[in-house]
Amino acid sequence: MSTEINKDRVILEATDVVRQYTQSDEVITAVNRASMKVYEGEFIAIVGASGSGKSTLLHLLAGMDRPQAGHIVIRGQDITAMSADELGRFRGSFIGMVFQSHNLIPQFTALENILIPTLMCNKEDASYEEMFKKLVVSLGIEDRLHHLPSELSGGQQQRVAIARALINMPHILFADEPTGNLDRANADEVLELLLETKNMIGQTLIMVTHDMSIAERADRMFRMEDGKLELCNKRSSREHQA
Amino acid sequence: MPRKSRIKRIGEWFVTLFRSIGAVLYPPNVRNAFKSVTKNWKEYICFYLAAWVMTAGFWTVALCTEANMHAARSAVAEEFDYHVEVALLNNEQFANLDQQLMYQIERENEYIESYYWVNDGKALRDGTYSCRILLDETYGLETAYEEVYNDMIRRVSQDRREIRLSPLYTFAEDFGTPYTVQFWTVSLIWFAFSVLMMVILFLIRLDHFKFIYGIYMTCGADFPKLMGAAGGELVTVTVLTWLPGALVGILIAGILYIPRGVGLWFTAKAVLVPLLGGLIAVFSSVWFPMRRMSGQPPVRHLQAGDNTNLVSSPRRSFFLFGESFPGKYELYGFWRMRKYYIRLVLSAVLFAAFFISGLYVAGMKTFHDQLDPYEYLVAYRPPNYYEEVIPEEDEIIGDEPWAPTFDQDEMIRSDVDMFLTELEAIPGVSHAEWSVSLSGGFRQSHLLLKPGQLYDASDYAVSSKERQSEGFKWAANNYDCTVVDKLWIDNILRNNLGTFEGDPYAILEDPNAIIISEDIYNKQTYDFAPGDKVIVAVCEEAIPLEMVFDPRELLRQQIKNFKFRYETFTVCAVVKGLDSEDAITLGVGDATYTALTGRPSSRTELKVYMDAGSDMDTVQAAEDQIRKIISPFADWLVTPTGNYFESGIKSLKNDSAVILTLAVCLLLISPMVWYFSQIMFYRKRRNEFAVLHALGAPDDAFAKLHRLAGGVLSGTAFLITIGVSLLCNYLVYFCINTLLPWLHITESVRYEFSLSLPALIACVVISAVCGFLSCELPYRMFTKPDIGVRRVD
Repeated sequence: MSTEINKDRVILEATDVVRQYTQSDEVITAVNRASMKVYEGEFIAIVGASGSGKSTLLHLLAGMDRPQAGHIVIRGQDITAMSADELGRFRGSFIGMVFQSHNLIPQFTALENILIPTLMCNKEDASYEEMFKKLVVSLGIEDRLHHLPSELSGGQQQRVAIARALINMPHILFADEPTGNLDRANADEVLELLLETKNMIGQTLIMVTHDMSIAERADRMFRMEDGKLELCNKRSSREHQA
Repeated sequence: MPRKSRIKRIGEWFVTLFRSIGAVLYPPNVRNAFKSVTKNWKEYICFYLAAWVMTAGFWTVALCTEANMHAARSAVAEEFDYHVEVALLNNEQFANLDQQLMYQIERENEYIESYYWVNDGKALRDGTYSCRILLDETYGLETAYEEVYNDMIRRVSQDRREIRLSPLYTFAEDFGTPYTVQFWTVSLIWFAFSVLMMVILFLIRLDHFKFIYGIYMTCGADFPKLMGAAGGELVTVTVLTWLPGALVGILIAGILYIPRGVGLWFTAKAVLVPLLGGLIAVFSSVWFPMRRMSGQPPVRHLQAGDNTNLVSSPRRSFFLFGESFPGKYELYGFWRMRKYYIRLVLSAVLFAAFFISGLYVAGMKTFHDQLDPYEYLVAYRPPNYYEEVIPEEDEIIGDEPWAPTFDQDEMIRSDVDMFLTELEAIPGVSHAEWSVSLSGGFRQSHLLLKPGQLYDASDYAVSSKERQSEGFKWAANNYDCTVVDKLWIDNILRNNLGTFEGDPYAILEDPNAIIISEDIYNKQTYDFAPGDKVIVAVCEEAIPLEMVFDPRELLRQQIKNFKFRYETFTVCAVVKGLDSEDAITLGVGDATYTALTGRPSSRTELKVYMDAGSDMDTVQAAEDQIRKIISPFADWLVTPTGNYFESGIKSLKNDSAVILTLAVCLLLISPMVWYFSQIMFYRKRRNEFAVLHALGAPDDAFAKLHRLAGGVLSGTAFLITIGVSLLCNYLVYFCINTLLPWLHITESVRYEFSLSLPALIACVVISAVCGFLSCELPYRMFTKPDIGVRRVD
């Protein structure tokens, strides 16, 4: 990890975050009093079994969902206290999100999909032009920009999704199993790209993954189990995998 | 989160509003929106049609009301060349006023333009003089009138002198303000319908495009940005359809008005209101659904890539094993997405119901326009006459009215006997009415009736236990107690105003006999026969009641709380075919009238009606004739009401046709809702069908599935159309009949509740057919070709 971790500067702090769902009169606690601190420049991996609440936690941390209790502070601002509009603008300025299922808009071309965040934040062309060029070259999608998502492979679609998440140079990138739908080779390639761009921009990366080989490359690893979040060292996670 | 102060929240709301408007008008957004709605025009075709209908409606309303206004202005300017008429002047008053006026004209009085004497300064047939004054409008009519009155008219002795303000003076009050109010009221109602139709269509779009907006929100879009995206598109659609909408609106207004000899006027208001009204309607219809959506976390919208967001709770699995495909499969699907289907059917049939309600309102309007008001009031006005003080509605008895003495009464009857026939023979005069009546409701009294006497009176009658043992189980108070004498009966027979069943003249001999009518708004509501008994419950003691909306509920309260005296009468004749408004006629003799109403039965006024279609020259000539006829009789005066002229101007309006046109426009929305929603819905079901096909579902099963869905929707639409139409018509009925009079917005008039059967049948058929086709067309558009392609693969 070439990005320097600034241990004096907490970029994200979650305290006792709770998220529950009601399904057919049954209350499911997806995230149960989760707390964590993330430092600037860190690469955090969140692992856990399917249905353990990893993605829900990631959505909460990224301001994509609202917790029922607890606080999430990013760059000194409590995002749980923000209005929907403030949170929207905050996401556009500081947060990038990569989904497992890409979530590209099917009727838009790759280029249009990548530029959506610049449009949402009213960015001038010049401000993102350089970043755009760097991204499409490093992600290897320069010759696929005018294709619709349905005309791209899974790996290419994920690269477009990554480019979209990074175009506004967010301070924190949240990735929800970005390699979950990819084969080994593509998965490794996507991970390398994420780490490269992380280093290039100097951002913080919080990734949910099933893949322990990816998780082991993180600075710190958290494990979710039945909605509870706990910090675990790499040795124990290797044991867990075994 | 600490709660913000109200001022801060209002401030933030305005900031959001301006940012949203800014986002909609932001050039890159406008460019994108234009590209989106023109390149993908098929996707927006529904909005194009809706915006077109909306704009055409706004134009129709604007042009038709402007045409009404200008027609009225032209007619008034053509007929009246004066503002004030000083009438009934004697020789001395004539000389005095003429001198005053000449002096002021010589002095170039700045408030008076000109004046002239009717009949070139010669006395009229009744020996009086009339002076007509045209005011100078420079300082406003009111100021001019005040000055002229103080400087000239007031100096003439008041003896019998009468000041009449012409429609040229009262134009603003009689026509200008009412027409302007009508313009804004109808425009606002159309605006509300436009917002409703756009909201419904936009909600359908939002339901199916939530995923995209979820991505926008993930990428940093706040509410103004989302408004910029969605609002910009619809605003662009509205701007693009403005011209075609204008053309249709002009065409409709032209068809409705030009054949009536009324031209179209393109004022700034008529041009701007359709444009701004349409833009504000569209902006509002995007604002509210988008505001709600933007307040929700984006992760919820990302789950709406397929139809899962339309699945209703509880999301339980059905036990599909062993069930038939596609029958049970699709029915389970219906249940699972029941909220979507109910919303779809309700939204679509609502516009069909609006159409039926539009016909109902147009029918009410037509009826009202056909009522002929009287033109001249021939009244006995002795020198000691004073105006009656009309009591307030909640008072039981007002001040005692002026009444002629016994001798005067005898003289009046003899006078009328002598001049009535001559009066009715005047060219253009239809008939004269000499009666006095008082509403039963006004006296807080009511009739007790037997069940067989109610023909279609369920809207008016309430059950009553007062004389139930004698068979009088119902009570109603929509009757006018009217004094009847030989003249009244002869008048009806001679002028063919109605026919009698039974012997009407029996009322002259028998004090317990009554003549009764059966119609409300010219439609049979009660059923009486000669020999029937009717009880009149006369209020003896009343207590203040709480305000209630429903007139029937008020009657119930009165029956429960008041004390009544009961008087039984026998129907000697039933009068049929008499023009009726909101009450039946209960004809009684003089003594009975006084006993039932507490008022004297003396009649001092004769209302003179003109033939329908008479021109204004005939109407004005009739006045002179009337004056001549009554001049030998002392203390009789003629007062023109101007009603005929006013109703003539109103007849130039074509309000019923305008309402009908707008109703048809609303009906056009119904199929749009069906197809737009279902095409979006089935487009998202393509993956589901592909999986089913891959798992072995045969091609014909998909055809069956769609037809089954179409059949179920068709049947549901059939039933819901009937229910919603009844509900809508009832709401209109309640609003016009009860709510508006209660709010003192309109006069208290009771209309009959009705539902046009042919319109209902047409709407039910349209809804059922659209329901079926909304499933069948998507099958032919998406599902069928898809299956074919996969088979080749």
